[in-house]
Amino acid sequence: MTIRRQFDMAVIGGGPAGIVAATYAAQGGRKVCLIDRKKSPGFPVRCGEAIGLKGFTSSVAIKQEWIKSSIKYMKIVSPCGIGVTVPNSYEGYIVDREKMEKDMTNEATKAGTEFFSGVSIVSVTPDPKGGYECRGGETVFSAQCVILAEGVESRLARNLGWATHLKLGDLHSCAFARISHKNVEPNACVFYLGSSRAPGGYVWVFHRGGETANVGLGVLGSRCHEGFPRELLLKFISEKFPGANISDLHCAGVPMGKWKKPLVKNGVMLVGDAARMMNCVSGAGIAYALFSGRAAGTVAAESFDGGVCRHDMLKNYEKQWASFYGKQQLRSFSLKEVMVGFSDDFLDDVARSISKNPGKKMSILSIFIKAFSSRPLLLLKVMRLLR
Amino acid sequence: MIDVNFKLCDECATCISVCPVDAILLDDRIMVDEVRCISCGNCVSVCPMGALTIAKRDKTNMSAAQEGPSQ
Repeated sequence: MTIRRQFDMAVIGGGPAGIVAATYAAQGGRKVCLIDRKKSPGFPVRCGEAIGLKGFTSSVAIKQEWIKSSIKYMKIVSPCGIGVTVPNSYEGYIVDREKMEKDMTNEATKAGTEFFSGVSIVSVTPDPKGGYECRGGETVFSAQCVILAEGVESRLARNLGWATHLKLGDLHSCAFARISHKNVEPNACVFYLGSSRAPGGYVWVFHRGGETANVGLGVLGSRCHEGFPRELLLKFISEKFPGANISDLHCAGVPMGKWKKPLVKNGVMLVGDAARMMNCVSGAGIAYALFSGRAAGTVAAESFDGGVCRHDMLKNYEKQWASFYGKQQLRSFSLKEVMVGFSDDFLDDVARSISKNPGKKMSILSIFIKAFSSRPLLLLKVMRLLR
Repeated sequence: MIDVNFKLCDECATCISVCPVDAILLDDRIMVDEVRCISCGNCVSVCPMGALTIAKRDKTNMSAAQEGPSQ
């Protein structure tokens, strides 16, 4: 038997973007449902769990108990093993995403959101009244406005006419694990480059308190034939952290394309990974997800006039995203396009030249200048892309 | 046609994001629509766990169906 439920807004996908969108929409006075396929919010964690300080504070009030580690610096290890420490390069946290998402879901329900877990929405179709019907299991959720926060798969968006299908070169296929080992570098985010370690991608090791770390490995989708991320990750761990205790091995796809225009179509909005909001260089997506969720939820709530959603007003969400993070995301995409062309030899050369002359104030920019000083043509190419 | 090794599959949905014909659905578990699937192998390439394989039987089945006395 079909159960029909009526809401002002339906948010599909209970990751950070969806939870925040539902919270702000409910706080704005709307009747909201948040629907998630998983039985329990935040589990399993498919993420390195790093977020910059700014990314947090602009969208969500951070809770002390979410923080597993404070990150003070980044370190980049070249293919042949030269480590370059970038002091003051990063100020952020490694967070317990499971705890964070559970707490945030509680906030959402406190604000009035009705939360449905373990429900997989198979279709979203327009109804004759200008709204949408979202079908999942035995239930049909009717809503005037739908926020799609379905993550990397972005399938419902595709069914509604968005070209969210990813090219193999616009995807990192990733495997993650938590490890415990004495060699874990405290308060650091360490990135390992090298085409034999992670073809077209990199390995990251993020300190997660004590001797534990999140270790992840991403391979460019078009180079996965050189090795499956899961196997490459286990190989890396056994080499760098021999005998480490490994737990929570999971995997994910990380979209590395341009964010999807338009973000809004006839009462449907895309947020987070579903909209391909991802820093294509660092792989950071939580800050984008939180921002887009907040913006979409707020704008959607404001677009209701006398109980009716004015679809034309939803476009303000895209404007907010474009002016806040949109350009940065597009730049990261251009940069990624150049970086996938870097050879291991080139990266080793750069690491060598930096480690020989360690600058007092080393920034990402100064590394770039050093890196390209002997390759002016490459620099020109990068400049053109980033303009 | 695609074979799924459910012991390895982590239900991360990466395969769905690269399927050009929307043949993959994740409900209780991954399902591949045999009619839509064009055996392009995108999903097999990007599966982080190596849980997907192209089953050879599709071609033999197809040719058998074409040649077979189906009337």
